[in-house]
Amino acid sequence: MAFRFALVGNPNSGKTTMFNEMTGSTQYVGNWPGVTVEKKEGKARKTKEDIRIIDLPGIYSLSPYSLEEIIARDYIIDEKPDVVINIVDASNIERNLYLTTQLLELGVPVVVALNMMDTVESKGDQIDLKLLEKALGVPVIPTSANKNRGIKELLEKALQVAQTAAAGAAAKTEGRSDGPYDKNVEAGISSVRDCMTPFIGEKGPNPRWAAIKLLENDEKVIEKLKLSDALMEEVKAYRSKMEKDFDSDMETIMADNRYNYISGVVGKAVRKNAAGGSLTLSDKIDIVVTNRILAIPLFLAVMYAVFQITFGAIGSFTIDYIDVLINETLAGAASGWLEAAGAAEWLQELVVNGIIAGLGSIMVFVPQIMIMFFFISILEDSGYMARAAFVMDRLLRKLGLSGKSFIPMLMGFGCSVPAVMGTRTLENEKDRRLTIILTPFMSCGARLPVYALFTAAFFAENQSLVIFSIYILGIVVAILSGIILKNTILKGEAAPFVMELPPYRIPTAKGLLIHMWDRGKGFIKKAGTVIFAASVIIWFCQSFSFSLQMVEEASESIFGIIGGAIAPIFAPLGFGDWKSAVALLTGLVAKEAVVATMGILHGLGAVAEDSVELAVSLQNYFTPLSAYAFMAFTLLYVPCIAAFAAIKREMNSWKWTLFAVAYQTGTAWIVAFIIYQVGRLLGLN
Amino acid sequence: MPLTMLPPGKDAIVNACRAKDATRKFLEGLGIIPGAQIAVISEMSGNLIVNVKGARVALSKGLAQQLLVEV
Repeated sequence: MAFRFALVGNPNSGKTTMFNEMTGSTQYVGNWPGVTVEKKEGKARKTKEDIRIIDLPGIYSLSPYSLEEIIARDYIIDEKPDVVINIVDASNIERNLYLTTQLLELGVPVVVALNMMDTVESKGDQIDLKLLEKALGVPVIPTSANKNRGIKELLEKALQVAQTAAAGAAAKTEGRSDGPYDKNVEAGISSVRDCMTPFIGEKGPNPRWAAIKLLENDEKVIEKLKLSDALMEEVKAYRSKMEKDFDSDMETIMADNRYNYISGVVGKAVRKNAAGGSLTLSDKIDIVVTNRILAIPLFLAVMYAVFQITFGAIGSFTIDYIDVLINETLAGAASGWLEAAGAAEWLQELVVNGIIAGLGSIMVFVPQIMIMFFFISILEDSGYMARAAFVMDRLLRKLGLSGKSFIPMLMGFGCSVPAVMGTRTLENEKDRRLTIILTPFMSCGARLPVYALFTAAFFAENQSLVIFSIYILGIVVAILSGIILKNTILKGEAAPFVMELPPYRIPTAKGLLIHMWDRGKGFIKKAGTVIFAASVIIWFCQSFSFSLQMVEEASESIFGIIGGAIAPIFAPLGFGDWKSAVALLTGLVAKEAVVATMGILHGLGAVAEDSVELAVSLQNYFTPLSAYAFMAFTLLYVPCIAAFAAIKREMNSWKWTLFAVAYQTGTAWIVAFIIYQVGRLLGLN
Repeated sequence: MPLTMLPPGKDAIVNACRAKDATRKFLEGLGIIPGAQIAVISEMSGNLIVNVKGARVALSKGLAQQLLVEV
């Protein structure tokens, strides 16, 4: 028989680190509350018995007001794990025990893991474990999950508890005389319990816990128990009487009782080393980092540094290097090998111009993505990212976003894919959707070759200024969209910003590497599936006609005909020829493909971005004005397939994914239309 | 007085919380309930970092205005 142990505890108390140590897996751990958003299951290693460990989202209490709390509570009540391992951050014991007092009321076997003992010891504090065990009435095991200390003992103790419980000798935690509530509250709880116990079946929840929840007016529990109206009236009478006696509302009375009880226990069991009032190192860093004058410049400097390293020297070096590796070395070798092996011409074409070219354009960004996540991980694991969100909150609130939206938007300048994935840290559903929709408006690195090509052909004198203006255009469109969407379909009060700030920690190399590899792996996987398939399809459509003959003239190919059909849509924007339409279509695979497609279709073969010949050829099709409209359209329309896949995964809804795509493409059309038409009215061309 | 008026570094006791139900429950879990000791560590254009029961919690200005404290 398999035993199931559930890990329950406050956010950032080290549950996932514990989970990884117990099961040998490499789930992502961040120094940021709320990293685990859904439950994860793994098999404990190094034990004879079959033990399943379940990592539940971090919660502060068992009240059903957030998704995480509901997931965790439902799991404990409905799935009845053999043991609940309550991870308590010993360095923040008073607050953490609040959840413990509620877990004990559930009447399930609980083992407390007093985690982060290394931090407590290094501060010189002492905790009397025997006293704590006696007060709580459950086993307490000291652990330091990040140093793999105490985990074996914890599992052994939990197993022992599970086996005792299975043997039917479980000592019920219920009815301990020294519970957290004072005499009068306890009397009320008992009365409610006694009058409702006959009505909840054998399989129902612990009666005392249910009584407490009824008194607290917990809607989810009331709904589940389906008690008669008469009984509910009786409960209400008890509640009103107690509220009157205590001159406060029931929830506050209960919370107050619990915290008072905890203060008493902690006061006896914990001996603090230093004088409590002084500021910690974390506080001193915070006073500087969140200083009203320094905060924003400091934040910008940090971000600029990350940006500069990732997309500056190191980043472009890796791009060039891998580009050569794939598009010259690998492509050359493959075509030579295929030719020598006597492969059919179409097969050579498919491998070299389809798969290698298509995948290559994505793979060049893998090192950049990994570098960026390496730095982002340092900022996250150290605890700085939580402060950055705090610093930016006021500013973004004016645009209808909360502080947590800022990081993904900034990442969008590099690549939309990790930026969209980064929205996971936003807990408010609407903020998250809005951020996902807006993030692709930040001009990603893949769009730069398009601007480089067109500005070289049409704005040679003001090249950098024109490119800069495109970036600004993206930001302005994002701001306007934020205001519009927040006041229409994504209407809703911006969630009040409350976030626990983790203490600053020095990131571990292991954590950084796991994070970096995790993100890189996901990206490569996506490239190997979605992008691979798309590359084949696009190559096919560029090379074959509808009658499946390989064509000489691209205009007769499937894409040539489709391009001709959709081209009129772009006519009002100033680029109604079929080649531009096809280039925008292929740009769906990767925005750089726009440049390559332009080159192929204008009869020059694959081209470098600054090819003079191509520039001359383009001047036959575009005016400076329509070229600018084309760049604006490229900036704003649906990002590439990789970004689309990321949007789909993060939205987790086809409806919202399609809305994002439609919104982005619609915006692109409207903005390009305005640029071209207004420009013509102003006499520009 | 609202928490926003409390000068940094000074200890106070939370008197009442006027936030909405869900937010109030959340604050309760974080230890921010009437009777709890609270101190402001840092303030930035109205947003606060406070010390409650040894933990550091960031609060937006709007929320801080709904918390009444007493020195």
